Amino acid sequence: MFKENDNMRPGPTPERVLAICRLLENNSYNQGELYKLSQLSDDPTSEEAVNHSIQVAKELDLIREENEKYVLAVTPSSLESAKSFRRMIAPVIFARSNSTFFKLTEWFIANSDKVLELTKFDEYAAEASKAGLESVTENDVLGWRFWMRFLGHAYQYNRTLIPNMKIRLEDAMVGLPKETHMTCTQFVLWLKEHVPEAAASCSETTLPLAVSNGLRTLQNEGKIEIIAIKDAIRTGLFPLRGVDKNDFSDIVIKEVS
Amino acid sequence: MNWLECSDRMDQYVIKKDGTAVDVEYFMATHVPFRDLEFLEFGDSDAKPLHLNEEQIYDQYIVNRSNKHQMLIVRGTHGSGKSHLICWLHNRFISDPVNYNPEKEKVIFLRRLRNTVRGAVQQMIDEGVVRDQELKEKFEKFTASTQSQSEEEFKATIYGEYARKTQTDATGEIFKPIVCKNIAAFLYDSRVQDYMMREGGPIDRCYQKITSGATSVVTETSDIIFTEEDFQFPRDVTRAISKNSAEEVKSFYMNDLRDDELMMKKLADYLNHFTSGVIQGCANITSENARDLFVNLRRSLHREGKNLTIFIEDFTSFSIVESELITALSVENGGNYSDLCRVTSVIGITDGYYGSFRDNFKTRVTKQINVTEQSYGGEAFLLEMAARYLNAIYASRKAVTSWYQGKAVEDTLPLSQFQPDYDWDKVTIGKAAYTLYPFNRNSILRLYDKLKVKTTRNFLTYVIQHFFERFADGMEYKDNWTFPELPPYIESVTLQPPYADSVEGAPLPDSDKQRLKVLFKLWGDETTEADETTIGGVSKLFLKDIGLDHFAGIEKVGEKHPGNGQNPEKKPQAKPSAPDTVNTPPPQISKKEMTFRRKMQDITAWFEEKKTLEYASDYNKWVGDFVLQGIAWQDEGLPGDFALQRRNSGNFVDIEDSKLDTSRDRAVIIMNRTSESRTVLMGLTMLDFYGNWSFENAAYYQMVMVGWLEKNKNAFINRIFGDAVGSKEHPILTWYLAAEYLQRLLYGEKISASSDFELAKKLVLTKIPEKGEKHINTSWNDVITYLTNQSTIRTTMHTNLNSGSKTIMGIIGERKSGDVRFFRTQELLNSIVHLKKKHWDIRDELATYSSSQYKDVRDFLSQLYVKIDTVINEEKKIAKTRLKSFQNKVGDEPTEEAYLDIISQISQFYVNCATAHESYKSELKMKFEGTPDTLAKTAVGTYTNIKKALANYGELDLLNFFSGKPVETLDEILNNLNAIEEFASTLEEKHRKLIGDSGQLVDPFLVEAALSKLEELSNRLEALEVAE
Amino acid sequence: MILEKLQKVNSTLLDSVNATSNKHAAETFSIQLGMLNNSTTQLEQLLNLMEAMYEKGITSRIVTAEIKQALQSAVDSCGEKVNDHSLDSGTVTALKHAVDLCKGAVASIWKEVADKQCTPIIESLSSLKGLLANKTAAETLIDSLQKSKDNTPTSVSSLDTYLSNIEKGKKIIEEMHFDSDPEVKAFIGKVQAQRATVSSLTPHILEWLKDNNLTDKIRLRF
Repeated sequence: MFKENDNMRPGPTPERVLAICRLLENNSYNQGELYKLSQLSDDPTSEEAVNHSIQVAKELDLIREENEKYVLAVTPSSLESAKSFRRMIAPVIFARSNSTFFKLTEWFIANSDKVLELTKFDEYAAEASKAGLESVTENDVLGWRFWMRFLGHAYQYNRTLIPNMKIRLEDAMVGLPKETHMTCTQFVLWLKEHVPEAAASCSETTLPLAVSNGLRTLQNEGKIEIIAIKDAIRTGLFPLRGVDKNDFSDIVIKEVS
Repeated sequence: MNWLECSDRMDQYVIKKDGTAVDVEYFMATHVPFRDLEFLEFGDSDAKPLHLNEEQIYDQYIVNRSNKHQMLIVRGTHGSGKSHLICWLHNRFISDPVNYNPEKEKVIFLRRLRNTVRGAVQQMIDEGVVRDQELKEKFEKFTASTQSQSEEEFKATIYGEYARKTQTDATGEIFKPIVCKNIAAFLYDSRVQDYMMREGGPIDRCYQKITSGATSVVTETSDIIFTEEDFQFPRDVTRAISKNSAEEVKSFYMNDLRDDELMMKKLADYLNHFTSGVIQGCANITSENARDLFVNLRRSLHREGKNLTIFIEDFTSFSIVESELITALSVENGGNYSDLCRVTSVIGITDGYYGSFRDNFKTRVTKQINVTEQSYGGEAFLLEMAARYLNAIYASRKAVTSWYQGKAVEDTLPLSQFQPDYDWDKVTIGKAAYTLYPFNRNSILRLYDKLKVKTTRNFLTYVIQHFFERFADGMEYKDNWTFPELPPYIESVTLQPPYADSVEGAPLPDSDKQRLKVLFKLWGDETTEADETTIGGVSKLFLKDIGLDHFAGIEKVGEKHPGNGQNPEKKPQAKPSAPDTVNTPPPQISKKEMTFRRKMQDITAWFEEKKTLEYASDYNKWVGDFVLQGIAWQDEGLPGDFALQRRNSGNFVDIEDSKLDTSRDRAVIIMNRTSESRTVLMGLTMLDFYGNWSFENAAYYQMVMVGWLEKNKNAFINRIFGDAVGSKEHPILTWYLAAEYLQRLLYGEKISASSDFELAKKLVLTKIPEKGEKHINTSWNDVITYLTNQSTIRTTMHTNLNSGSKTIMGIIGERKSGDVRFFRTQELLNSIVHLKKKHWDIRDELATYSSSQYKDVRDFLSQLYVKIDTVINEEKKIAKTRLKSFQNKVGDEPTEEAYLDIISQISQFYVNCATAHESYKSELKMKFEGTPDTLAKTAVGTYTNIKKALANYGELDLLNFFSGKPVETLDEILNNLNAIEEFASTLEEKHRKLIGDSGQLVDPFLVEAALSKLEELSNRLEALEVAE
Repeated sequence: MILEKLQKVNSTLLDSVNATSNKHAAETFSIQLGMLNNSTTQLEQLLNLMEAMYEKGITSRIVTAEIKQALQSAVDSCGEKVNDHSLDSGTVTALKHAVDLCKGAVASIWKEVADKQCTPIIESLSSLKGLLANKTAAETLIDSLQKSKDNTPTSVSSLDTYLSNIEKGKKIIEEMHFDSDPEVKAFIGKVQAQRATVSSLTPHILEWLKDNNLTDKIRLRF
């Protein structure tokens, strides 16, 4: 799932990977035992989804092998809730900038005008291929889509994907002290570092739709404030009619928890 | 600027409210030249018309340099402005210093109000048209003649005339005189007369003809007053006649007239042929008289050296007299009539009357002018008209009057000298520019376009007057602004959501918000985009003028961006277009698009006009899908299947004031009537129609929809799950597990010793083995019956346990996910650990949950615990009695040795029974066969275990223990022991008795006898000699 | 407690069983006594008979040593067992068998003897019975003798009866000079076989016929 030139099967979903990790929180098991536990069976079939979920957990260094058994490789506190899991895992995933997953996500963020037109997942695959990601098939898109949605890049509705990185941005902002103030330039730098998959499509001049609408949604909830000071350098947001700002010069992160 | 004065001026002079004639100076000031008038020669409507403007017509035909006889008719529909044109021609003429010489030309203008000839004549008298004294007297006589009689009197006179003529008819041409007399008598009969004089009857018709109500010209050849129907009396009249009338009347009617259609016709025709005479007699005017008057007038004028130009604004009456007037006017002077003055007549006729007119005067009409929509419609016309009227409103009365008197008519207007301080729409008329303030081009054209009936009159009243009044009011008092107000002929104004939202979101009172919408919709460019000087295409200064300067608008955005729409031809709200001057048929729209538009209007009406939402079932479905798919339930650690179930169980979405009957209290998604909800619904509708997100402003809608979802996410989750979910353990699953476990205990399944994993497996994946075992404990049996009856609920809970703990690969609400067995096992194990720690008794915990979600499960569990209480208490009681019984049998401290003794005694007993030839039931015997050690262990072991359990176990452990039915085991042992005891008692008694009964056994004499004989025999044998 | 109860009933049962078996034994003893009585009565009679037969000179001693031994031991063991009330059917049966054995011996001896004695008499009488005035009596006598031949007398008195019959028979024959006169015997024999002819009527025979009044008893035929 998260390797270079990897396929992205839909089987290992975030829920399942977390389920595997949780099994290993206080115990170590080998592959067969993990099958048994996950399938609640003494005579389990070799269910692919279990296998793939274990592999993904391994890929992301969530678990490792020790004495022919698997053990947890991250602190148990990160498995406390789905949210803590997500916040722990996002930086890990997006550190792998060579993975197909990263590249496809990057493409998604950068090409919102195309994305707005698409209504089927084979179309996504076709578009991604055109953009240079030749290995991506429809099945890959299906798998990618679960993780991408979980990590907070888009919302699915009737086979369309609505780009909005509210959740991802919020996760990335955790850790910033309350009332952190940045100029737009500083913010873009921060974005590039902490949200690397968006780096290619963000510039000091303009931010793509996914990021822009994510920021707007955060502002709508009062979690951040976008400010446009006259005569200051501004970074453009994806322009929309009907909003009162289409660019900003400063941003205040109020409180993200 | 004194706004109230303007308003007053408008009402009093410029646009008179009651449609009365405007003063001539105002008329001229506001008159917009007719452009495209159809002009035909000879009154023949089939010829190809010329297109002339009013000035051309005026110049060529009114000015009439060649002094020719003319009869021009002006046609047009109601309110089309034909009377206006005539009015103008008249005013133009008389204020034309060059061409009009009052000394040489007599001008008569017959207005609408006085359109009977009588009126005309009166007018002419009043105006001093008639100089000739004799003629004047005749005119006066003419007017006087029929004014002295009331309607009733007049009618009676008419009728009397008919009767008189009939009576005195001695010609015998149609009827014999004797018959005529009878007819007359008939007519004089009061009942007949009453009937004939009724409203709508022949006499009434005749009256109308004479005075002024006729809609068609009466000529001598069309005197039809009476018809056969007039003699088909209704029954009450007939009855009255037969009851009360004189003999000859009765006789005539009953015998000669009644039911005889031929006779009726004949009579009608007969009376009709008197008509013209009657009319003449009544009106005291012969047709010649009427004609004479006007011919004489012409002569008189001719003698004076004058010519006549007569304008008749609206000719709607065709009484005889009117017809005669036309005839008089239509005679061309010269030739035989060289003593008559030249006449130019301009007569306005509504289209409806034209047919009749044409038939009779076709030949007399020289020219025909047709006022069509082209003549007065068109953008430029409207704008000029608006500008002129506004100008007249702004200008002082004095300025207008002096302008008119100054006769500077032709291409100048009195300048009101009012302009707003800033750039505003103007109209150029001649050399000067006239402001449209407070209107602008957009508003004028759009408002006109919205009028249901597009006439100039309506335009003036409902557009100019309606809005200006409110504008002036606001400008004067600077508060309680209503301008611009939505006029009654427009149902609602809507802006597209981005703009609508910016208005809705502004911190302004609702009334101002509505005004802004109207303003931007009708005055502006339908947006609220602000630049330096304008908002939504309207000058900021204007907004300031009308007290709306607190609205800032929104930033302008480029058109080209894809997220902002690429399909202009598909836009639901097209750019404001000029109203069509040509009626083009609307383009064909598909059914799908029709439905789509309806839905958009539905949502708009729901929000703006507070109407009930019609297509609610579609919206509910889309909203439900959106929320269901937009939240990554299972990845966020929630049992996704439960969300889907909740949706499928109905009442998921409640939208305020929707046609669907949903309950707000129980709904998960609640949408109030807000602009945000409106935008969300519209976004969903648009996506449904367009199929993807590349329609106009799609990204904006996305932003609002996601924002709404995120803001409300926790509320939705809470409403579905309440406090029944956690992060590492879900209470609801814990409850399901507890329920499964307890049920199994009650059913007697052996599960307590299972490992956590085994338990999880069993509880989640296997069905409860429902054994039909009966307990001694009736309450236990009752609980099992109860559970059996609850099979539906129990099955649901079991299914939910399974589906709720399974991982799901898929989008909830999009597609049914597959059935891969991959559980969140650690959560289940956590639940089980928790339950085990509490010995499966979580009653106290249940009480701490208060949310209504899954209350039914908590209730089920709580009830189960209560029932278990009862069961255990009963079981304990029963167990105790059995223990006591066992002690009674075996000893206070029963040991295995003691029991072994008992067993050995029992087996001995059966041996003795056999020996004593006593029969016994072998089943009972078999109960005590088998290895004695085993029997002892079982019996005493059961006893001991029960005793220990009662002493040490908690309630649920007891339940588990007793589900193995140890009490039943002990009970059976006791029963067997009892049975043996009883049996033994019986035998003991019997045999005791038997032993007592033994007595003397053998007869000793017999014994002796035998012995002695034997001895004797023995002796003899001894002595017996044997053979050799 | 149940243990006590069980113990009680077991003891009672044993007692009862014992009591029952005693009664049973006494009943059996009585019955056997009855049976014994039959056998002893029979033996007594048999002994009487054998004695009478010997003394009357009919037979020699019948009982062999074995029979005597069997009888003696049977009688003795019966005596023993009667004494201690333990007479059982086996012992009684043994005596019965011995008695039967003896009976059998007596019967076979008697047959022999009786046959020797009776047969000539029966033959003669049968030949003569037609000629006798009391044919019936002769026939009765023949029957009795025949029966006696086949059946051992059961008692002394029946033996006596037999003996008197023998005498009677003999007497009749002598009176008819049947056995002593062979011509007469031969003639009677021919007549019985219907082969007697007129030529058989020798004067001796005619005389004998006249002496015994039998002339009317002879008929001639063709």
